[in-house]
Amino acid sequence: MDLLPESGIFSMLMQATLMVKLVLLFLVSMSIWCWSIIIFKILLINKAKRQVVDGYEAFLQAEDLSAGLHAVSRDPQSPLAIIGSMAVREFRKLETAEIDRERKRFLVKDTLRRILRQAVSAEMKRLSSSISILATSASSAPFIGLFGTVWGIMHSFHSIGQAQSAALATVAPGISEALIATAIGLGVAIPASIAYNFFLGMLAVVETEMVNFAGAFLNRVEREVSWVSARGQRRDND
Amino acid sequence: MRQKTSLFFSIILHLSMVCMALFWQNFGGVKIDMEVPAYTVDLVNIAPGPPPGPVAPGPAIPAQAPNAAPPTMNPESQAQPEQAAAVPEPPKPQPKPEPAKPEPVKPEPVKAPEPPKPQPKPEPVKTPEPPKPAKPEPKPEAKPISETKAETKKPEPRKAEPAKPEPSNKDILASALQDVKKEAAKDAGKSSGQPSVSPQQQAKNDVQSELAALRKSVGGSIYSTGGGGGGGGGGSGSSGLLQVYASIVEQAIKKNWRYPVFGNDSNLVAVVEVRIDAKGQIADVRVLTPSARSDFDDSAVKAVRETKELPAPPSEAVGTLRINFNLQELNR
Repeated sequence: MDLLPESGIFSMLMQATLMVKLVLLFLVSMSIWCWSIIIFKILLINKAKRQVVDGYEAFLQAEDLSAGLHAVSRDPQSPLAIIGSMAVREFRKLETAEIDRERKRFLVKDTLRRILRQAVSAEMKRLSSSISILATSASSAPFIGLFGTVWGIMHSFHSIGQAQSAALATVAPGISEALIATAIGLGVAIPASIAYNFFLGMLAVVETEMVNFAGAFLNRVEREVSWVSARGQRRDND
Repeated sequence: MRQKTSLFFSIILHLSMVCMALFWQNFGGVKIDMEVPAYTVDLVNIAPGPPPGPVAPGPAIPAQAPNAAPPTMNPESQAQPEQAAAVPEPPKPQPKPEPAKPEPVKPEPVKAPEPPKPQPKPEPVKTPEPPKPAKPEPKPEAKPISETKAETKKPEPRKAEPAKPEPSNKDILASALQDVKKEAAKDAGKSSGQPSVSPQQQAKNDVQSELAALRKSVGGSIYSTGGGGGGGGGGSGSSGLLQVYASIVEQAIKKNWRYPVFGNDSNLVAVVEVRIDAKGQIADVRVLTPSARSDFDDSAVKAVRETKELPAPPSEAVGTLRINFNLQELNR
């Protein structure tokens, strides 16, 4: 399919009305923005997914909590490393707090659960930022293009009315010119909506892995940290 | 940081898309399929008539010719439009693409619709050459719509005109015109009739000045329309609107036209002149060229009379319409 009519693209765009030009400009900038988001996010989320899956596997394979945390934080950019370090920091704060031991034992699970949930949601927020722009583009770009088309067709019919005769040959170029706006709008919207749904699926996978990691981390803390378990021995080196 | 690189990549992507589109366009070119018929859609239904032939280079009708008088009370004013043309046009045989129906030839009155304007203009007595219509002042209205349009004419036997063109008539008219113009130069456009002129000339003067005033008031152009006549030659440019109006009027009138068709007697043609005022009311009806049968003429006049409503003419007022009533149209 040839995207362009027989006259050159520049002459054709010069003939269009100002409103159609503005709409086309807006759509082109929207397209550039959408594609930059798509490229950026596809790299970011793919990497995060790989890190999360690998880190969770490594954490499960590790023999104790500290080894698991070391394995996870081999890549400091990994979401699991960030979650783990936040949780450990909170744990240390609780450990050094001036609270009686029974009280600490009572508090530690809830504290860790809260901090893990916070960390997971913060990571999700970081990963899914500006994905909503894709959704907005996907839903609104066709309408913006349609607006340009309607405007152009209105204009061309107006000029037909002013002309003496209205052969199809004089009517058609204006209308085809106006329809380009809708075509470009659809061209913006289709990749945006595909990418948006694709990212939603990937983010769901990443979130599942992170929640799983948080659960495993909490379990390990409960199993392996001495003062957390009620009958555990106090281990000074930990 | 990474966001900037991805933005850069995105811009590169779009530029490459545009380049690809341009490349395709240059590569593919335009395929013109000559097999496919071109459809043209006309939003206005023009009365069927042969398209205007190419205007043959012939002597143009002089713009300043004294005009055929519209219907007035004066019997002298039955002067024919033919005599108005100072230069008789040689009839040019032209092959006309007729829309698949034999049409009887019919006379087309030559139009010279330029009103004689009372203007201080020294004018020599008419010679049979087209005078240069170089007017010192722009006319505010009454564009010379159809006088420059050389009508494409079929080689046709001119019918005997029912009026009597005297050779002296022309001279009288011309001199009267000059008188009127001199008068106009003196008293700013009002002819008051000199005592020196003969009563006949006096009458002429009155007729002429009245005519000029009337023409000024109604834009002063005569359009003929009707089947087979070519609709007045198919207007171009600004007169196209008026031609369309004329054909609309013709359709409206011929809706009310009834005449019994007797089969073999199908060569009846009558030309009816209709005056329309600015509101679209029919001011006057007159049979200009009667046909062989008077009841046929009456049916045409009756059709005009029965037409109650006409659309208001466009801004450039249509003074007079000539409508050809042709019996063959009823046979269609």
